[in-house]
Amino acid sequence: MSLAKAAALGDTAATTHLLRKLAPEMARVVRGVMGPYTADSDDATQQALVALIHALPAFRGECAPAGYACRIAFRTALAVRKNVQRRRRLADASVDTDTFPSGESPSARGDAARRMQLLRSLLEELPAEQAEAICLRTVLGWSLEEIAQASGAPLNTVRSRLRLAKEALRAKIHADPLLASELGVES
Amino acid sequence: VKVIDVHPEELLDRELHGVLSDEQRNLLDTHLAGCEACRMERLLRADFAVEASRAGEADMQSFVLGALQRAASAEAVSAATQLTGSAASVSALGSGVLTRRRLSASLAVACVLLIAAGAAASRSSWVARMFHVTFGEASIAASRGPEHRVLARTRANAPQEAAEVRSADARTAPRSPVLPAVAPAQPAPPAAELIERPPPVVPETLPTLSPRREPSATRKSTGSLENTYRPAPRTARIANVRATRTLAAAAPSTKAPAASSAALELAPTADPNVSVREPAPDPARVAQQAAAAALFEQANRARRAGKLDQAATLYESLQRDFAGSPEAKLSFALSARMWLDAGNAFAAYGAFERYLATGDRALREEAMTGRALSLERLGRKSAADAAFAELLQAYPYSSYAPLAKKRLGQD
Repeated sequence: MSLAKAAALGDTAATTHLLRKLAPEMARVVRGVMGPYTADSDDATQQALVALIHALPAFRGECAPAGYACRIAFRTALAVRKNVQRRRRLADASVDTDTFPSGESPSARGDAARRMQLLRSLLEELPAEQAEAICLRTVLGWSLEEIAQASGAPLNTVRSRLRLAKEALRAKIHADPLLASELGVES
Repeated sequence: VKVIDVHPEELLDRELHGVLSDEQRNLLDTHLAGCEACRMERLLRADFAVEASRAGEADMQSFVLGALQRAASAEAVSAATQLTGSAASVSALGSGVLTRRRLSASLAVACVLLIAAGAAASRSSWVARMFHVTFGEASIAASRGPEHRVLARTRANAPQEAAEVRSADARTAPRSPVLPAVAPAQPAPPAAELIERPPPVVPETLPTLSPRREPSATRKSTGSLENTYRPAPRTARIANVRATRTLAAAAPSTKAPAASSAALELAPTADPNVSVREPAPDPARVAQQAAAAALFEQANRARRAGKLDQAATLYESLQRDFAGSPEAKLSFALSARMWLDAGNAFAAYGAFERYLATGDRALREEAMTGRALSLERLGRKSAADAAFAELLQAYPYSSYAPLAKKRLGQD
């Protein structure tokens, strides 16, 4: 926290050190939203870091720096993902952005890829707060308290956001016959 | 509000951290049986944790440096735009109205203002200062070129920083154990069965974790390998680690003394009979290695004594405080096997994944087997089959190959 406050005040060494500390977790969020092997995920990671640098002076220390950074990473990645999807839809409707390199998709990993792709597409459709809550919960494994602290929202609000997000997730599962079958859901 | 609309998030968290009581387990299982969204959430957590462990090699340093450069470039562009605007307004003020002499004087004033403003901007911009501090003048010049070239240059200029960040990256590895799914067709076993029962009986015993042996065509399954940990106060792995460290420390010294070099130059460097003078080791490094080894030993003692919680805590300390050390890497595999024997396949699977993600090869074969068995016990048949197939491909002559073949129906 002291490091983040120093960085917020413009301490250059603190900023660099803070970025190094936060970058891995931010990259994890970005990859969670974008997919680890997309060509744009690395660019999104860097954009998220740039956004953090610009947002640092506004950091008031009301939540953990990691929470602040991960929320910025999430918003940046989601925006980039939406842009990429839109661009690709214009270019070729059949392109799937969640591609894996060859040799990386045995059946088990294929199942996981389909699940993650479903969540990523859900993130684009949900309201930002709900998308953020479900993303931090699934991608980073955060508890309700951690999400509440990072987002500055009351615990019950976070719980409600997650409930709504899960409702949307349930609808998505029912709409995907393969996934529904895997999860034992009657469609 | 239906029952399944109230999602037991706290129970999911407790399960993730392995602190679910029997009663809570029953409640959670009841909910999961009817809530595909929560089942999906558990699967997704596991998927993303695996994904994060696979993507752990990313070079964060290049991202950080690139971001700092881009931020500094943006500041510079902003400052230049402001200055251009003020210069233009000054010029506009002079056009057509002022005499040539006044125009010259105005331009001179504008130039002075431009220089002064530029100097002020470069001093006031903390991002620019940071940029100067981080990269120096050479990198500022480089930033004018294409971005990929700049990144490549900074990457080349900062190997030491990259190493630092890689170690920091390892420290911030997935912090939660992976939570694989319970297959719907095969309901989750009750918590008592998972946690409190003695080590579960499996059709084929999983041999004791031991340092990896080289694959060999003559290697056969022992068939009577024990299903408990072998007491190993000083494991062969640690011996290997120490031997490696000794060799690493000794390697440079073979170049040093010219007096005895006649024999040394002809002898192979790694000949154990050749006596070489070792350089004085770094005391801080030695102390750190000793501390890691002591903590590792302490954790192993607790594990062998059946104090699983204590052992888990000590392993976690080792992984946190000595991230990247050989002992920390090994501790993932050892704790994974501990959890597998204790019936906690969730925690075991996560720890095996984390060990494999470290890239360490000493227990890779055993960890791949343990991962497959964990998946099998979790009811994830297709994932378990894929894991067994991966094991067979990597170690076709492994002592675990018969087990893998049997699982895959190849025997």
